[in-house]
Amino acid sequence: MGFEDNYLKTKYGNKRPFKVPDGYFDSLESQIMDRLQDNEVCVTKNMKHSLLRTYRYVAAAACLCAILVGVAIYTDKTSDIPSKLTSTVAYDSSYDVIDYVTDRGIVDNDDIYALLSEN
Amino acid sequence: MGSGKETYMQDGKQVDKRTFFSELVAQYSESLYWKIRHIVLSHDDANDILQNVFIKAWNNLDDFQNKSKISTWLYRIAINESLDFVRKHKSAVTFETDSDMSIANRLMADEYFDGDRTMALLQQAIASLPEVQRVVFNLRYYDEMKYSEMSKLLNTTEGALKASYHIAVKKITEFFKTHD
Repeated sequence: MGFEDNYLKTKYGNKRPFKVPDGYFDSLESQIMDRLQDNEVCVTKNMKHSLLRTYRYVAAAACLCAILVGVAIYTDKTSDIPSKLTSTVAYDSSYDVIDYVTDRGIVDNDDIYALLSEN
Repeated sequence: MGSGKETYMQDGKQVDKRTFFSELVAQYSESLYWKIRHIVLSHDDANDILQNVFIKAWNNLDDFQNKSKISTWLYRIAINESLDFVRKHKSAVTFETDSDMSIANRLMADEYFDGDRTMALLQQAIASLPEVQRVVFNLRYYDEMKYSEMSKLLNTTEGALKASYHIAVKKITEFFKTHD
């Protein structure tokens, strides 16, 4: 088994059929060493500050959310008042405040004349 | 991961990591390159893989526990990285029986291939071997590596390596007999 490759070596040789660019191995060491970085990255002392900063942002965001939810709930409650007083009036999105006041809050001149004529 | 302040022994002196590693690169880069190149065939690919090998070695140097020679450790990383590359680019390097010998043609067109058509066909035949036979063939035929050293590198018995080489030689010989 030791000389089984004699045929191949005799016929084709065992010289490498590859080449490299000129000067490749000369510059290889510096090329590789330049790519290597020291693994140590000092994050420990910055970690505490960044965590505190993060907590502050989260707390601020939570407060803002709470305020927005509160406003939304309050707005929703006050928007219910017209519908309670005018339960016979079907809600219509085109039914604005002026129409409501006109229907219920303001008495027009014809009504006044009618009222006066009855007396 | 260490603090980076570890020292390493080199020629009886304690040196820092960078100095130690620089010596490794100087000593082993060329032999590593050729082992890689024989598997991946292209210079550009071999260069990329070689750089990755050294980056991996740098990142894991503190974990190297002297269970083997450092050269064996480096060669093992190089072979694993090369085979990973070949697996990912399988269509580019495997022998396609129905094709027009695409590996051989590619090599003939490669400015960094220094052989004739027969040499290109030989590389194609080697590339068509299963992984283990391919690696064993390259290490034995071109590097003339001893089976004892190969056994430690590939973590395989010498008997199994000799059998792999025998089969690889037989396949390549048959290949040329049918293509002559």
